[in-house]
Amino acid sequence: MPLGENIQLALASLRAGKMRALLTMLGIIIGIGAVITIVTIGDSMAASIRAEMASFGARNVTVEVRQKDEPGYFDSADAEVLGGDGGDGETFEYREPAESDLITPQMLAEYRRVFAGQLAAAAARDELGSVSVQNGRHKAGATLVGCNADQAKVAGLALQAGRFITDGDGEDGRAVAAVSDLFIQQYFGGRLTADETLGESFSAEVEGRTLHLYIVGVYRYQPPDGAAPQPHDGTTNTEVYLPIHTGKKLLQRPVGYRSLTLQSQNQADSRLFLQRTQTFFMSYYTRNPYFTAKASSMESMMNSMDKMTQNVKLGISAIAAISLLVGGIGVMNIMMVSVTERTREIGVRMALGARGRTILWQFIVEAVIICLIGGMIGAAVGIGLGSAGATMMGYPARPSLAAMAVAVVFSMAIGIFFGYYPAKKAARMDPIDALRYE
Amino acid sequence: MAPGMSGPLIQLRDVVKTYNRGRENELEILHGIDLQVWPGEFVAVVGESGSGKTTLMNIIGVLDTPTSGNYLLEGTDVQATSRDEMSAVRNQKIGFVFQNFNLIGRTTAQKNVELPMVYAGIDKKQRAARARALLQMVGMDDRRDHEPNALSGGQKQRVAIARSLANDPAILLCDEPTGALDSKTSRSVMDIFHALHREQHKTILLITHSRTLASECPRVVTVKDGQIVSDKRGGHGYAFG
Repeated sequence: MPLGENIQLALASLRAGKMRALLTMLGIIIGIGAVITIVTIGDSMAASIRAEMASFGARNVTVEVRQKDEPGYFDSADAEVLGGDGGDGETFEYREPAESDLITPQMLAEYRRVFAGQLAAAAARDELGSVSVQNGRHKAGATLVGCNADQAKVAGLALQAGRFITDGDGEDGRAVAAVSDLFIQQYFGGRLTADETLGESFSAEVEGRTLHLYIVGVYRYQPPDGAAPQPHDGTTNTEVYLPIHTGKKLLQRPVGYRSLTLQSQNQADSRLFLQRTQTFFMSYYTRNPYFTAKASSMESMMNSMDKMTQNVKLGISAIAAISLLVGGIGVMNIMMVSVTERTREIGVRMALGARGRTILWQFIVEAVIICLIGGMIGAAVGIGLGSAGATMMGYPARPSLAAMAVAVVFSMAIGIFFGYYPAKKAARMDPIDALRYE
Repeated sequence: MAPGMSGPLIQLRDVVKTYNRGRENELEILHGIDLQVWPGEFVAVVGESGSGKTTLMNIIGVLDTPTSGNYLLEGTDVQATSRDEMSAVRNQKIGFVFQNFNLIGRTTAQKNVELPMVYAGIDKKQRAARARALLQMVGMDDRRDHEPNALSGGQKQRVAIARSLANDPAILLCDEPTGALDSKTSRSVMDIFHALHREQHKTILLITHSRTLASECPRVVTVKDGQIVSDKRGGHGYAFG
């Protein structure tokens, strides 16, 4: 008997008992719906976080001076971060790195020489302190960041006016700064355009010392995606970039870098780049008793995050699978009832010449259709709930087509698996007994 | 006897049917039945309930197999065949008409008549046309889109007769076909059988406990206690030669 006939037959039988069919499907709907909801939320979240990280430069390698016994926040989760022997957290004691512990400008120069031809950018960046700068009744929040010229590249800063910090600024110890458009908006109360602020100066007080800085450039402020701007004394704190040497000299801080952000030209081989960078910097710290250099990349963090979300999805899907199992047993139960109720019909069909396997397929198709409709409703519900959930959590919804396809195929498999036994029971009936069944 | 025919349509030789064989409650229902039915015959099989006529019908209808003896249908032994082969024989050679109609519920008259042709693998167009023609023949053409629960008893039985003819079977096997009908509709159903016999030379086996009904048939076989006790022919005007 052709499949089309069986499908029509099954649909007719389901139409005759809509309420029963719906209740039978409920288990499948809930099971598939739950899986798709979780997968949709998970995928949306992961995709959004991934995109955000990528915008920060996922392939940038960060080298940091870290205490050797510092409990690492990367290496416990994932072995992607190379080198460094994570100590145990209980004996950890914070230690201020001395000048001899920091990455020196000579190390950076040597690194640039060794990695010449494959290095796209090597940015030094050190936060010098958060301040509030006053201009009459106007004020602006600022995080003073000492950096070199490459910082603009790795941070993806878009200049609106003037120029960014140059390496020459640092060598000459010039007191210049690149500020955000939001900063000048707040500091000058909107009176000056970006171009007009070039050459203007402002003073910031850090640790009792006053930095007098001239504005040489204005960049466009990009609020962190999804996060609200952080208010600081009623203002938004934005980064003010100044030459790292100037800043350290003025604040009488030890010269050197606590961290570097390195960008490879060949983005494809980021893992090797990470490894070689790690090896390069670690060699300077083999005899340092307290400090070491650790290289890490956003990509390695993203990978470990992906692994984590994958595990969460898997775990919750396993629980949802139990619901599917229960749903499947429900389908089997209702098919058993249906077979018993239709014993007489089965007898008649056999008398008219239906073979055992024709009857078998009739009931399997019916079970599969119940599960398939349930699965499709479940997938639709899951996409809806998942998208709503993701949107509510602030991530753009990303319904997964693959998950839907898997759900539909899986629900069909449930139909075949749980429909087989009742169908077999029907197919094995003796036509004489079946015809006589009351 | 039918001149020119190579042999009987149905030939039962010493058919014995025993239930629960080898067990304590062993029960022999048929004790060696010999019966020949020739093409074009209209035979009434009469017997009280418990006489074994239903078991006999099951064997003739290839729903059951004899414990011993032979059953030749159109000269072919159907005793030792598989379940699938039995299904195919029923589908092609037997047309069942039941006392309680046994139409498939929630399925139109048209689809009910098509069903044996579906199982025979006949294509959609062809079987739809044949089903319509058969329904027209039994006077049910205007009701072909009705489901069984929208039909009266007599109408249901007409649809069932149309269905039994779907694959142009060798035998119509009718088990108390008027048992659930009032006398008027019974008459019209019997008239259809007579017409099929007279005009289309269908071979019909009518199983009944009613002597009156049996007396209409050209040949009456009486079953009692699992044996054929009488086999009378020519009781009617158009009796077989």
